[in-house]
Amino acid sequence: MSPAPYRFMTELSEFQSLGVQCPPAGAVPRDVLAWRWVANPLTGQCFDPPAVRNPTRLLEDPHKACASWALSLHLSHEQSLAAFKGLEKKIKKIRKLFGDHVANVYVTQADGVCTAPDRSGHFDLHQYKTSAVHENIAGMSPIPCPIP
Amino acid sequence: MSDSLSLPKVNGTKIESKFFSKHSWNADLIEFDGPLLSLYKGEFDEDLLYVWLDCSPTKNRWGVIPISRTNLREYLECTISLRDVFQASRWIVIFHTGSAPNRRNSPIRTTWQALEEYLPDDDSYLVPEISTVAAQRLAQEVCEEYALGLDGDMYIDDIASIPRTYQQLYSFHYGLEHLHRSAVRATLDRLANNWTGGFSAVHLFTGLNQVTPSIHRAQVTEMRYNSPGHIKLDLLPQLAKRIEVAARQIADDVAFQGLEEFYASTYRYFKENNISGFDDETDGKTINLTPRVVKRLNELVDFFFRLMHWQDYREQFSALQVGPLHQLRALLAYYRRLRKLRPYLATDRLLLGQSKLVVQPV
Repeated sequence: MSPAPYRFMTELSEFQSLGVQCPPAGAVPRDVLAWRWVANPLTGQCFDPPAVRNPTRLLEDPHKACASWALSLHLSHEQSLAAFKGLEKKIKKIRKLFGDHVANVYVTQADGVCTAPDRSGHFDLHQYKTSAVHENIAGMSPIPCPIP
Repeated sequence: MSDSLSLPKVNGTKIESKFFSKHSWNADLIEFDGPLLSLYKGEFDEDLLYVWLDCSPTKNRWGVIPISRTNLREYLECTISLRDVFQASRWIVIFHTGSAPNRRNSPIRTTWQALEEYLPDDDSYLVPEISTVAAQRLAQEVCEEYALGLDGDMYIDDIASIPRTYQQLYSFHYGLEHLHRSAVRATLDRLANNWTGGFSAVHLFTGLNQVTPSIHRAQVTEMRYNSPGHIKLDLLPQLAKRIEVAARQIADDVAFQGLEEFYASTYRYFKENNISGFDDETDGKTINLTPRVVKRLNELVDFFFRLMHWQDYREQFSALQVGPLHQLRALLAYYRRLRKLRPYLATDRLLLGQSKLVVQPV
């Protein structure tokens, strides 16, 4: 059976011509409850990867990396808040960029492939075309201000 | 994802957008779904931080902050905070981007006092939890003091030639040893595939400066000369060691003779096979070569690496994705520069890594 087509199939296939594997090797479908920063109420961009967000924050070509076509998620609520807290110390208006809520989302094997989580629990989801991960929100809570 | 429609007004002086024209991206230091804090080099080789500040539904607001070599080192090592960096800056330029990220709109020169609401927290250190791998690698490589010992008769052109040649060799090794850095890799790929369709060896030695942050450049920390004397540098020691290995070959009479024979025989081979550009460093156009010639050129590249005791460089060099002819041209260009140091090395007028100057304790 051929693999399901990705949401951004054309863009991902361009990496192949550059000799870059995208999604990266090791990215696999998985069932996981994950956390993502969102706005409340949700907007159309809350589940868009950085490469298609407007206005874009990608100033240079090298940033049009494979990961910019994926959704960022964290493995746990604590890790999601810790990462947000770390960034907010430096970037004061980060709530305007990523939202001020954290949603927990059911990611299933039907949604796409997930990269291996890094040490802060962050991973990327490269969505399949049929993914409706934005409809699988189990709950949403405000990000405390300040984060304890 | 903005909760307000417009950005707060910032007082400052309008500047021309050409301010940005020679800024080169070096590395992202903090990123999440794209860059939030990046290191750039400016027109005059100064380090600049680009920091994301704010957004509206239609634009992003960024700040450009000058940062000294010392502050950059300390920020990467988490001994000063981003707030300290803001407050140490004499000016900050803000600009805006819309749907076209390469257009820097409405640039204003201001100061951090006018940007209070964007001022990071007191403890805004670049902790490993939020810094990129690139930032961590920049921090790991630390410069050390290194002496170019000088002795004997020196003329003003000698004093100009030695540091310039040394800088070019250093730049070459920096490129080969930092291919893991996206900015270095992109620059080398660009140099290797520039618009003329050729490969300019000259740019190999100069183009990398734009992607070498100050903390990795060879900085002069002391110059003293009263025969003997020295130029003391703060540089990456592993690159200095590479140059020492090459310099030993050029200083040793037997090794030098071997290298000269290699150079002469390569020249003859170019001539016999009508390959131009043996010593033309600016016009290395791609030409069609027969498989036999390609094989021979590859052998010559291998042979040069053996002569220089650089066998461990072979893999990095192949990663440049240029053919053996361009590889060989780049190596010959390196050799011509290295050879300029031989008169000094052979007569002990130049000592790499040591100084004859006796420093009297104060």
